[in-house]
Amino acid sequence: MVRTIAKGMPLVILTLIITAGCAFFRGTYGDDFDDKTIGAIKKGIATREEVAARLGAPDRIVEANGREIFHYYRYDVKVAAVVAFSRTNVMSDNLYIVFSHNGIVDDVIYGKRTGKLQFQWWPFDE
Amino acid sequence: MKSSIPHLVVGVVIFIGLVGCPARWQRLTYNDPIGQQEAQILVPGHSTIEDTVHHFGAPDAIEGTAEGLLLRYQFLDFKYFSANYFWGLRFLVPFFSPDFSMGGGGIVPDEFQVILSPDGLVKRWSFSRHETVADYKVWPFDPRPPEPESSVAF
Repeated sequence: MVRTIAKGMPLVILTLIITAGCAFFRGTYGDDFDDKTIGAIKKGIATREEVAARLGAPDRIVEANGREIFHYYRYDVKVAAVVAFSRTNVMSDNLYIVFSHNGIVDDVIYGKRTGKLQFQWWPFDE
Repeated sequence: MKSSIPHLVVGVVIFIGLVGCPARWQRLTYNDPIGQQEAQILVPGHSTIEDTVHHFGAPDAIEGTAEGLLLRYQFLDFKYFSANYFWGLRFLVPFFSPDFSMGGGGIVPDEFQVILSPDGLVKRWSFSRHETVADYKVWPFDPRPPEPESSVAF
């Protein structure tokens, strides 16, 4: 038993040395978008009420060139700090539902960036 | 393999020495930057809103303008350095350890804007501020004397 603990000590010490001064944090704002739910919104068919029933009330309503746009968004934050270096990466996902003058879905614009968000601690790369 | 062991030891010693280091390099980024070269892929009069979203994803904001829809892609780079130059005093005078910190940095918000014509084609694109580069600053003081306040109106 003692011998096993003694054998594992270098590994424990090395882990303690490597992880000293390290910190990792994660934060999100808003719910993750469900691809199935977005896919169920049919252009030329779905109404304003159906969109609100599926996705909830939008985070923002934009009036652009006489058309109403529902804007849904989400943010993801990853923070990594190693000794004297720290890096915070923030990315956003956005979903826009553009309605025609009679309240029917005209366009769906969706982009998910947060899938490629990484923990990075080195602050000097491009 | 043998020669890499001294390097490893030196690396671990430097690493331990840096823990509790008085200097900090911090960086914050918001979305991936879009460069001039990437933007060239959009050809005014030919590229569509679908092409734009395919290459750059959904914009961060959509607004209506007199010319048509405006797609706004926002990204940001913030770099900050700080150092406590009296940190080492605690080893010389244990009961008196004042802080003397200096540093600086920069935040560069940038934006790629695409204007669409009413028929959904790209009319033109532009960047809001592209020449400035965020950087770590060791010395926060301006070498030039302060300038008088100035303002203009046309």
